[in-house]
Amino acid sequence: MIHARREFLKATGTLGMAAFLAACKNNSIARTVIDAGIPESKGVGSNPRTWARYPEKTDLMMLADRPPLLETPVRFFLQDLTPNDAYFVRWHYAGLPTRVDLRTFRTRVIGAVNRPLELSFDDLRMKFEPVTLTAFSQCSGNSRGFFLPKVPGAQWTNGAMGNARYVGARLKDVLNAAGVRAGAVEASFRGVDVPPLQASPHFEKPLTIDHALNGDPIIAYEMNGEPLPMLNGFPVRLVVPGWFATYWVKSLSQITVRTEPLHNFWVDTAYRVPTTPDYSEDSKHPNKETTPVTRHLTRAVFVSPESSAQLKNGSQVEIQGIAVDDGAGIRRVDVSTDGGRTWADASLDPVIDKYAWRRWRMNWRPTEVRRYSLQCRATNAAGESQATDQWNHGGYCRNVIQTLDVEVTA
Amino acid sequence: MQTLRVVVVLLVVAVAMLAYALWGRSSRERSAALPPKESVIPISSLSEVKPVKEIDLDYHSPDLPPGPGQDVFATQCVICHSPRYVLNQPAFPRKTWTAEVHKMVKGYGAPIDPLQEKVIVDYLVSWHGKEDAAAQSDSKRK
Repeated sequence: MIHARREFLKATGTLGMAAFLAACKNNSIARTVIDAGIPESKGVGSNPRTWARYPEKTDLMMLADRPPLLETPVRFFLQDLTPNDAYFVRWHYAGLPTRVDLRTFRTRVIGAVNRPLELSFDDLRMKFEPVTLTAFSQCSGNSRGFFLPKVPGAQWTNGAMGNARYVGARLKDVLNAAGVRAGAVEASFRGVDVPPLQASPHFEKPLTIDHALNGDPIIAYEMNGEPLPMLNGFPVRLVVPGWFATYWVKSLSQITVRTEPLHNFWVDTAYRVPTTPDYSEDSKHPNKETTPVTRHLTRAVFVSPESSAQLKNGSQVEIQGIAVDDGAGIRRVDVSTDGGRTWADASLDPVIDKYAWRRWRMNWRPTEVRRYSLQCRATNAAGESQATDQWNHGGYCRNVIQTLDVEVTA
Repeated sequence: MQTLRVVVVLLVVAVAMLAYALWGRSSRERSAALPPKESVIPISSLSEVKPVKEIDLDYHSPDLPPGPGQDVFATQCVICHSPRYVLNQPAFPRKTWTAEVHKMVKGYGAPIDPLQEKVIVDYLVSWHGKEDAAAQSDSKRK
């Protein structure tokens, strides 16, 4: 007993770090973690991926454990709706909610309103007209790992995204129930996640009051027919169709209607892109002017084949992927099998919903034994398409034309 | 008696026809209302949401290599995030690590004094980075 105690003191005293790490490790999800190298793909080569299974989740690629950053493997994008247990996870702070009691959970509406509200989960479900929509969302840093030169931040490949069906109350209806006062310019959104230190800025993001009232955003309480997973924002999260997921505030607990724009780290410093076309800038001379990340840029992503696929010469293969934009609507996807020299129209699957992704397909029969460079390029109804080159210091809003190298064997 | 029997038979036939017509219509409507895309998606009214949801979050923190500054990193950085946040990053030049560590102080309010900032940057560069000069000649070679 005394010996064990002495050992403990020795461990915590002189080997604090080791003890801390050991404790983490012993208490860890190691039983479900499989370390596995994922085939190298352009720009992300050096970091082997680790797989982990978190609560309510299947095995996902773990970029970080505290706070968790979990990436969805591309094969899940073969389904039109990304399963809840495979949906990507991104929290800013380790103080994310791990326990929610619906009897006490409230979403408060405060600030420049006539009637401040405290809405329970059931209030949101029962007192407001339910709206159903399917929408695509992606982390602002989705595909950051492909930027060269490399930029700091989560080195996501293409799996910090998903497409899901939500049911919720219109934000507009909730704000109207509270009565937005004249002079309001923004509504801002907070979740129950808490910063680790007193000095750390609480995560809070604003929308203009016009956007908040335009009928698009909803407060979702249902995701693919189920309650939201805890790691995706149980019990309710803001859904801002067509906009990056940084606005989709999870475990939404506070809506503040403001007569002055919100200024905080998350608005003024983080999640900003250069004010240039395609949000692109020179890495040696970054743009001085920046603007917040907002809407999704038009973009096509390969789903199948994957870069690791071994294709057979002379056999037909279906090239398939998804295309996204800000809601204007995908009109065309072109595919090149010769590194961008010639392009052919892919066929588009029916529209799932205005803000959902759109699937595209093209049959292809390789005729030579060699490496092929596949590319895909989307164009939307507003004429927005994709560039061949893009870089910005935050690694945000990547929508450069994707190149996928595949090996064709005899 | 005969007429009553005829009336009953006619009634039964009429009810059967009506039921058949209604059944046919409702099934036609059902298939028209649900396009094939949507029909595979289960729709839940969420009538049985349990009042309390609780998850147990375990961590999987990697061991970082020993070296000068490891202790400062362990006390000042790991308060807020796992060492895995470093492991997931590319091996950055000193300039980038310096900016990242300073962002933690300025942006996130990490209680790291300037001396400790330097120690942490040195530690990161020592095993997961490169000196700026080396980084520059690297890019020149390319």
